Amino acid sequence: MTVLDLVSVLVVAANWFVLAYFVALNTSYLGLIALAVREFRHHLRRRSWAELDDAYADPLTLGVSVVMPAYNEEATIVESVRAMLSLQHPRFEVVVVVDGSTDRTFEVMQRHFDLVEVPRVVPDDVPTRGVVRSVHAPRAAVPLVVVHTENGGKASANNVGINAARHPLVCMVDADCVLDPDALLALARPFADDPEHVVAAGGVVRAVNDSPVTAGRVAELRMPRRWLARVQVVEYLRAFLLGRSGWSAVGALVVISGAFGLFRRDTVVEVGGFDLDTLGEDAELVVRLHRHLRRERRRYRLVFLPEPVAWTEVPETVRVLGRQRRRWSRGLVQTLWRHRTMIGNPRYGAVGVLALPFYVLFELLAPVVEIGGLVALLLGLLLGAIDWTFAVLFFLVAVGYGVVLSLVALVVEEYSFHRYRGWRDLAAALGATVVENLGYRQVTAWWRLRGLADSLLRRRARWGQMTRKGFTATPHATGAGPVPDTGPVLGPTEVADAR
Amino acid sequence: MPPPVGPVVDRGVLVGAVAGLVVVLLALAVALLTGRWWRRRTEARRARRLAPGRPLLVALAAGDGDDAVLDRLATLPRAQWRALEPVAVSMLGKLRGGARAAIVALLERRGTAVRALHDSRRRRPTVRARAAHLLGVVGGPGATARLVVLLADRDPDVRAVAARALGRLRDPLAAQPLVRCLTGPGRALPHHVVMPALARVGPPARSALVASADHPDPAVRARVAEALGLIGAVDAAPRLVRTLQEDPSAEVRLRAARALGRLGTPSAVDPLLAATAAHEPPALRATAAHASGAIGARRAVPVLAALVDDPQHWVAHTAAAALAAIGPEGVAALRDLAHAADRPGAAAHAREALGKAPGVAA
Repeated sequence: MTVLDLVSVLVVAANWFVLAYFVALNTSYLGLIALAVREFRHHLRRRSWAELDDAYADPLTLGVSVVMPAYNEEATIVESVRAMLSLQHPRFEVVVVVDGSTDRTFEVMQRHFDLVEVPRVVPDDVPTRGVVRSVHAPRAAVPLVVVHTENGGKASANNVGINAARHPLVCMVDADCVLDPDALLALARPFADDPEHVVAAGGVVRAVNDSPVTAGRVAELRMPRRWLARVQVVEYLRAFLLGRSGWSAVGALVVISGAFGLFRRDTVVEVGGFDLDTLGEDAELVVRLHRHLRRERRRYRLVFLPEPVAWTEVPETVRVLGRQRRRWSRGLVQTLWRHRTMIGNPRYGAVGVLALPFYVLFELLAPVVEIGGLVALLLGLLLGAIDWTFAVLFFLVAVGYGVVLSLVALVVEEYSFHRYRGWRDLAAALGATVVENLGYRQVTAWWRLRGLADSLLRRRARWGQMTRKGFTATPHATGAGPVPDTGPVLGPTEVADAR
Repeated sequence: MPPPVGPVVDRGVLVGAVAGLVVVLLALAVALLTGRWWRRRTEARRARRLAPGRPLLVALAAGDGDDAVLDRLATLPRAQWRALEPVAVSMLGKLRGGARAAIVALLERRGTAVRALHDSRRRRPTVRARAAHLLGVVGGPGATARLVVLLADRDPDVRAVAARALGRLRDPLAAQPLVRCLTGPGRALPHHVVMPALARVGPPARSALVASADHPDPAVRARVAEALGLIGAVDAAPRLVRTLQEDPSAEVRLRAARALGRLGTPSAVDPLLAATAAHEPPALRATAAHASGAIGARRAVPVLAALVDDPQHWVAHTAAAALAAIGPEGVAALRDLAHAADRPGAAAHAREALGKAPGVAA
């Protein structure tokens, strides 16, 4: 056997492996979608008697501190904070942590909300890196606190917010997000329904690019104009909404987005808050919660809700998107490495034996297999080791099956939440299902592969910066609307009630 | 070029796979388009059906409707009423007085409550839960009795909706069954669902709660203590004081402290202040400090002022807030603390509390 023959045999073997891998990957996603559909049906049926407004009449409603870390967000910060302040909840505050911004984020807020410095003692319940310079609040009775810190990174800013929070539940929200008006009421509901066990609840993050935002609310949802953002609409729908709902259904949710998640403050403090050295600090916290609570043999639940939605501006340029995906990849590596003893370990239940192995096989290694598979396919064709019929089969499984999955996600969305209402939006979404699987996925695999390489080579991590356009305002955009009162402010002992 | 070393895929299989994929993609696309078309059609039809009745319903809710409006709504064609009924039901939660009574009268005439009673026996839990919700909103003869039965439903959602509905009805007859949910061994119902309902029903639940105050399970005793505070059972204060002082469970004591703060009984101040002692659990100390402030007794000021210097952040923070809640004496103590150069921690907490106290400058 010549060297060429040996290479050919290896290439063929690699191709079969990649083919089997794609079948397994896409079928896993199909299974998650099936689980998510069951969750959605349950959720939608509950809608007619949910009565979220009951929280206003409930003396035991737990207060919520909405924590918004902000770094160079001057384009969107006012709109975002106004949106947060107009949320419906009987007892909440908004804590904005200005994390040493180099733009005018703080000044813009100071002017708009008429902020004055206030004496507020911020405890050190969880570790932070950025020293608190000052704490500010509006002169008017608005439930807003702005903590000005030295730059310490996002995880540190989150921890500063947790320290400054005065309510037993903390809601982590990205400063560039706009929430549905009843987002807090809906996300806090599982804590009221099952107070003994629920320690965290995650909401959905979806793209809002080019949709008009009026008085802090999405006035009319439209598909973005740029294809890069359109593809992310479909990707977020399939991977985040359906994927995480599926994991939640089997009690193995390991990612609650840092852009929109609600946590019991005392439990987060118990595990030490966000890790300051991890890029994927949101997923790392959730995995650490699982680890800690399992070790303590406590009964607990982390839930994911298909509604409400946090609307966010997704990257519209290749450069920013690439940086984001590299960062996510590195975060995943760090989280999985840090908690490697949990992987495949039955002691950690479905998280250990299902979710984490899935993330290793189909998230961490996916870019390696995707890029490697493409190379092996081209090499096989070039060497004449594989027939064109095999290449077609490969294409059907890797791309065709992927398009089917994306389309299934669109169908599920259409029959459940149907947020996009126009025919043009539908046409754009249909086009995006193809682009997502043929082009976009391969490019993002390359970025993720680079992120993986960065981790292995221990290159220095950077958060980078997302260039914000600012929300698209409707011409008749006016004031912030009514600002709800916070009601009595209690200390975190209040949460003892949920035990 | 040499022949491929890998297996060649049979062309028939390949054509079949391509055809299968195309069929699946087309089926999904058709499902998507059909769904969109159907939804738009349904929404348009619903809007058409709502159009004649909605202004009449708004007039009724605004108190502008007379008997003629009620009659017209009561005789709307069935299809129009089916579109309008959810709107009428959703309005009820926001209305009080005469306007609410008018909508309830309309729902009674349309047989909504009777239908809900019937639906509450149906097989599907979704239908039963929706019926329970309607019974809680509309009420009517037999609603309480039926909802009490649903408290033991096999579906947890139905049980929770029934508990909330009973709270909405505020019927004293619901007190005993709700207390049983809190204390009994029956089907599980989150106490966070039962307690607001009990709070709405109020004092009729008192005797049943007190009877369970010595339950062997500390979780039940904790719920009972909490509930006594929520229903405003002022005459149960001595019992709660005893619980605060003697119960072996810290959680039960914490709930008793909070209940005493809610009741505002001055005789509870000394036991509450005793519960702020350094050897007690921090959560209990903070809760007791908060409760002392809520009662507003001036004799609590020296103890709370000492607590503002406590090394436990939340104990100090709560004590400062409690001083501000007590009034002028507490504020004066905070002012002294705010200028105490030898106690920087206490000074910071005091300044924060003063900053939040209405009409006070540090």
